[in-house]
Amino acid sequence: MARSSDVTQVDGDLTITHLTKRFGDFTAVDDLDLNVPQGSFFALLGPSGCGKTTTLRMVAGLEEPTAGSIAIGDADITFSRPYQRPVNTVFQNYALFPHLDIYENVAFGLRRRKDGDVDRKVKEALELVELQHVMRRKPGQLSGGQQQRIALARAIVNRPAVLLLDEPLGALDLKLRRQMQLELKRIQTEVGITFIHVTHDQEEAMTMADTVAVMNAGVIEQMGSPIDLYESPNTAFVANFLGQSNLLPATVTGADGDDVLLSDADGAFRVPRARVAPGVDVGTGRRVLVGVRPEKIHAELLTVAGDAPSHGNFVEGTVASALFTGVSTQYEVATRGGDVIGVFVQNLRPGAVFDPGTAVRLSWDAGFAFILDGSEDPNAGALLDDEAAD
Amino acid sequence: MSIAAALGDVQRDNLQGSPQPQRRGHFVPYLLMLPGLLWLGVFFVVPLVTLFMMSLQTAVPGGEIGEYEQTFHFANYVDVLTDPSYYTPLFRSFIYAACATVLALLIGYPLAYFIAFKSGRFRNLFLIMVIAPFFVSFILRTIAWRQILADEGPVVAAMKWAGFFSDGIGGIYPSAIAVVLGLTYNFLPFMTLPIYASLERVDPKLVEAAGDLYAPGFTGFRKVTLPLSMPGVVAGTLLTFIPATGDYVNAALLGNSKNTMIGNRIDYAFLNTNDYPTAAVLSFVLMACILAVVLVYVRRVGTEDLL
Ligand SMILES: Nc1ncnc2c1ncn2[C@@H]1O[C@H](COP(=O)(O)OP(=O)(O)OP(=O)(O)O)[C@@H](O)[C@H]1O
Ligand SMILES: [Mg+2]
Repeated sequence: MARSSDVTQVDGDLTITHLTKRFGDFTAVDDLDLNVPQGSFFALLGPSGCGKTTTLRMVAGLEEPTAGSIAIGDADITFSRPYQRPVNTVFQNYALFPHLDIYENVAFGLRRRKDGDVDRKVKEALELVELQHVMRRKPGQLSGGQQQRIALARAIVNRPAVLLLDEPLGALDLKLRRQMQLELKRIQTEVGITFIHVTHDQEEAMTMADTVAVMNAGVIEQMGSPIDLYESPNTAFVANFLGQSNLLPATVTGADGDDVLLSDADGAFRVPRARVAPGVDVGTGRRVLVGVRPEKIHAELLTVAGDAPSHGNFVEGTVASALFTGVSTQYEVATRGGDVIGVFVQNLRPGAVFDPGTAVRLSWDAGFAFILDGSEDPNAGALLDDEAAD
Repeated sequence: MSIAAALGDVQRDNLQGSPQPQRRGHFVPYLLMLPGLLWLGVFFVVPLVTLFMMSLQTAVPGGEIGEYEQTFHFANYVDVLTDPSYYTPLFRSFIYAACATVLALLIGYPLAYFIAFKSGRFRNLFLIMVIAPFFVSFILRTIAWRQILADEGPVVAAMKWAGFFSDGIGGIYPSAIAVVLGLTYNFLPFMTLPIYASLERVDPKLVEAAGDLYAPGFTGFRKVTLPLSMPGVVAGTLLTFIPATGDYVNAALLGNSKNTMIGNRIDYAFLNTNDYPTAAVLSFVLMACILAVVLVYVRRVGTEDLL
């Protein structure tokens, strides 16, 4: 029997060290280190099967780690039973108890812990998710979005130190999903509980989280604020999984002050040294990947061959395809050097769309480019992103 | 959870303002019911009416044994209801059936739970084993229980060894215990299978959620799994209790004259004394009693899904 005193009452950061989980020969989570500051909204983002749920289940106590440890503040909870942890879960398909009404669903955890103030807390939690009026209904009588909010209320009412959400919005349609994202964010700010939100929707992770960890094949590829991750990806996987990137193989030709100089079949570029991913060697003669986001690229009609920008960082090519999407037009440009570069151009003026076959010059500000390790696959994470976008 | 959940779906659809299904083809459900209705009509309503008519007949004056005519003689009911020799067998039937139902529940629920959650890849094998006895005739299986419970049989030997009986005195067959054991055995699959069916539909995620919400192990079972399996328990107990109350084979084969059930009296009236009206009256009295008990039971268990 779990009494209130059995639950470790701790606060603090969630610290995961060397966490590993193997199923037989298969390593689902591989030596994972993570620090989630108390009270933050943390998103764990990654493609299907990369080990997100497994990680979450180990934090919840539903799965036992093969190695490593999990701690909240100073308390090691690696081997505590689920009901002893100050952690609650919002399950992927809500897992509301169908035989209990909404009120009893929300009261479930409180009653098991013999809480003395069930009624007030339940009503507060229902108020938080704005669903007091469905108190006496059964879960089957609620819409998907309502069920989602009840699942949230049922977990939050226990005031855990950490709340785990496994793709909580996965079953909702796009519009409701956007609405619930705002709602979740509001509730998190209001209650101040650490949220760990698992998703494979990169837009969702970026709009909601203070910190995003991108996970791939059992390891964290990169962790940081959404802007950091988007503007300065450290790996090809992150560059492609979070939005889209053009990753062009190039060779380092030297250095000029704070800039790294490079060249490929299309010409010469420069990238600030500060924009080189950690651990990448940019010694002369090294092969690297130069990355530029499609929306950072400026496209103009190629009229006279001679009026190229003086700072370099341009390529010339022919429009291979143009996709008008309303806000912007997405081009694929085949460069002279044989690369294909994606470009998003805002539709500022009517009728200014380049037709396929048009010769164009693409240029970008050196400060927007970044350099990744040349041994990486330039397409890593790109296909997965399409898949995840549903 | 069948009906309640279905109602929930309907309500939810209405909430979201989805259009009502078109009128076209609204008679199709009735069409689909037709074979079932015909079956019920031919094999339930007609025999029931015939039986009722028979219960109002009286012997043809001066006629042969077993010759009756329709006289709408309602006093047949009074005769039976005021004859105390029927009271004990009727009462006994309910007691035996209730004991057998409780025993079958105690054996059947853990069995169904094991098959549903713990049997892994052997699940189908266990399910086949539950229904395997049906491949052997009911009578043969019941007679086999005579051997099992006989004074020289393994059960008695084991109990003597354990000191329950002193040598020479006591035994199990024939006795009330033997009849109840026979009933339990014969109706066990009817208890196990519905419980299994409802347990199998319990989402393991719900049990996990209960664990997450401080109800691990047995508390989680009591608060989540058990309530969700109640429709199966109700169905199983009814499927066991109702036929067990009317059963006469077990009492005939495993009991003696002190274990007569009402089914045996009906059997006797029908086939030995050819007193068809009395047998018919007894059948209706039994039916009424079972209905009353079942109604009270279902009310008490309070499964809104059934009522
Ligand atoms: N109980 C298990 N036994 C064996 N392999 C497992 C088990 N649970 C998970 N795995 C494997 O571990 C890997 C990670 O699974 P996990 O459920 O954590 O993925 P995920 O990142 O949550 O994916 P998704 O986005 O599809 O939910 C998968 O390849 C999965 O097949
Ligand atoms: Mg998952």
